[in-house]
Amino acid sequence: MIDGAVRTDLIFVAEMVMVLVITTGVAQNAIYLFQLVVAAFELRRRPPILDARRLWSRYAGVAPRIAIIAPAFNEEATIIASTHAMLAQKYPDFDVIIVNDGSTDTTLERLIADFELHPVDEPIDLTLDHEPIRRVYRSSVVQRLMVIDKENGGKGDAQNAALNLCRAPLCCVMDGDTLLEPDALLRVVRPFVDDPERVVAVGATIRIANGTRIVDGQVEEVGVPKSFIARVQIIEYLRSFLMARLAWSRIGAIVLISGAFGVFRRDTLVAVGGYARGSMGEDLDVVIRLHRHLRREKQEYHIPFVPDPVCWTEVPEKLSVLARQRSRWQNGALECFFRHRGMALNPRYGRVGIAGFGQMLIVDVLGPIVEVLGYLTLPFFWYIGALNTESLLILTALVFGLGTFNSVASLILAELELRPYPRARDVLILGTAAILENFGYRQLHNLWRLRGYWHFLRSKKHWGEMPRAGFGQEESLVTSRNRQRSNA
Amino acid sequence: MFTFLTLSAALLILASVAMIVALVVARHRAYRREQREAKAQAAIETMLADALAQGDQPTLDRSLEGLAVDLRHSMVLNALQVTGDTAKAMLSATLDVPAIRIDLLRVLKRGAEEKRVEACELLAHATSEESRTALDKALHDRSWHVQLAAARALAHRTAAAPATMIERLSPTALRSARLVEIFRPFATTVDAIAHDPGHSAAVRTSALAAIQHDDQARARDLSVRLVQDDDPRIARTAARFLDEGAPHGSTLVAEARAA
Repeated sequence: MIDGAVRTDLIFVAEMVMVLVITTGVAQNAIYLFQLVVAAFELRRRPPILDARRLWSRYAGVAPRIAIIAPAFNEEATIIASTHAMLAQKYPDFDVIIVNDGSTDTTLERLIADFELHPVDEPIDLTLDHEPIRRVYRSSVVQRLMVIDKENGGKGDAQNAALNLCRAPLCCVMDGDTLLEPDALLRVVRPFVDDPERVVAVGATIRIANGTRIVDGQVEEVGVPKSFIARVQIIEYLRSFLMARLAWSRIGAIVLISGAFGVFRRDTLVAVGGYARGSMGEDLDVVIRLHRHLRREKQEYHIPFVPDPVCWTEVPEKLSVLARQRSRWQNGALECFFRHRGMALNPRYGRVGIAGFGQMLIVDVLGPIVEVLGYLTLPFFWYIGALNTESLLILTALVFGLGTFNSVASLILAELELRPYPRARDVLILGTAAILENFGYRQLHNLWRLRGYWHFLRSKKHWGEMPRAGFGQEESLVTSRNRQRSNA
Repeated sequence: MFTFLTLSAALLILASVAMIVALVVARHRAYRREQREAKAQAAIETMLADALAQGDQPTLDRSLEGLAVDLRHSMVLNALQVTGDTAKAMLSATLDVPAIRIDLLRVLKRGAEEKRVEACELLAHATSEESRTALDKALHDRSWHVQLAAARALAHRTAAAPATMIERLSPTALRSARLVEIFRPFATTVDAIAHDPGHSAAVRTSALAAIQHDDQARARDLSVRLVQDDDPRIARTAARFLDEGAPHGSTLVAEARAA
């Protein structure tokens, strides 16, 4: 089609693009495979203790006090159910601190009415910066509940305000819309009890509530959502969050404890200056700063990840909402990577620098650009004859083959060791989603991530709205909605 | 080469599909089996509860002997945590029934880590000499969780704080805050251990923490004396207690350090 020097140049460019796409794709999948193997080893070595009574008999006697910190911004749909679930924790000694981060809806009013809150004077430690606190409330009916009402400043800002008022040695930082399992704290405190001198933070497994029947803030029946988008996210959570974090915690390279649930030693969090205000990835940033600080101080430390499921969260079922969420995550990841770029592949930071930041570089920084570049250019090169059919075929087969294998293997490992979904039908549905996610969803996901790139380059910081159906009092509205859909 | 790689990739997808099908079949069977077992367990739990309520030891022994090993262990463990003193005594006697004891000792030797921990927790309630010997051996188990469980089980049977026994645990086990539980029943008599530089820092801090849990005033006096200890871990534990747990703690730390 094209002859002469132009054709030679195009072939060269096509080969270069192909090498780049193959190298990045294989590296990405090799990381996932490695994580899967390490996660399998870790799960086999230390399976979760399923019986909460055992946990209580072993750990309750020595469990340190924990403060649950939950920032809430316009969470009127879920805040009451979430707070009830937090207060229903089976744990010997804990407080609950809800931070109303300048909500414009009725979040605060609902809390005041439901828990009979009254204003109190609490001594505030001024170590960490945050927007002004308007008022602090205590509940007349539940002694351990405190509500902080403050000016809007973002999630990190709200968490800092709570850290200043928190008096417990450990703080459990979570989202206001996350639903806790009754024994969540007991499960996640285990590493702190097992190694109190070295453990500074613990992450745990977050599960997707869509499709699950929730009654009075308690999970009654685990199920798979009707929406394909939500099903795919279950696979993503298993592959990228559960297996990846379990593996990286095993080798001491974990760089992210999800903002939806994590437990930290308060003194260490304060020592690193608390959460970054106005950051798009404050949860990632704080863990990286913990590593940086503790390595500089030459302290022996460990950040484990507990595979036990401890809390439930709703995921978006609308593409537009999911697109905003993923763009934001990408923006946050890039922000943290470039802010702490000195740690990337730096042997001074050990496994965190090499493995943790290495993964961020390949998966978050290079991944979306290279993959979208491949999708756009390679068919074009093939069309003009600069790339032969066999090369295009092998590339496509490799990308889809490895991607499918990784997703399915993650699901199988989770099913064998953790059994998150008891019914065979659910496993079949999720297995199908694990295969189908590679055809269409994955490409779309990369486009959203590219949008995150664009926002990052323009320094655009916007969290966007995440509409919640709410866990409800009687039954999760998510389930109700799904049922209505299925009935229709 | 190209054909080979393309075929390999296609095989990966096929393998994924095959794995899903296999998993679905296995899960379906497991689900059915679990439902059957749950029904059987419910029936046996009722029988056990009746036997415990009526004080009928032979029925209890028989019903437990008839159960699968895993089920038996977990049921006895659960029952020990919730039942009254008489029932506990009955269950303890059951643990010395030969068939059950042999099971437990076998699990302690060859079971998975969690099962070995459970076996230690059960053997804490058994009275035979054989079980004691097995627990002694378990102090050197490859898993520190099992070591700790064995130490707790042995402490359950001793009359004095088992400081020397604890010194035999691995360094990882010695880091655990759960050591405190071993000293708690002896909290009134462990001041000397907390003071004795002959013991390891882990044992001394655990003794100190047990006292702090038991008697705040006594712990404050002891901590004031230990805040200047040669061992930094002891000094840190004492200072932390004074800082966080005692009234005017910071002043006490400053005064003790000045002295």
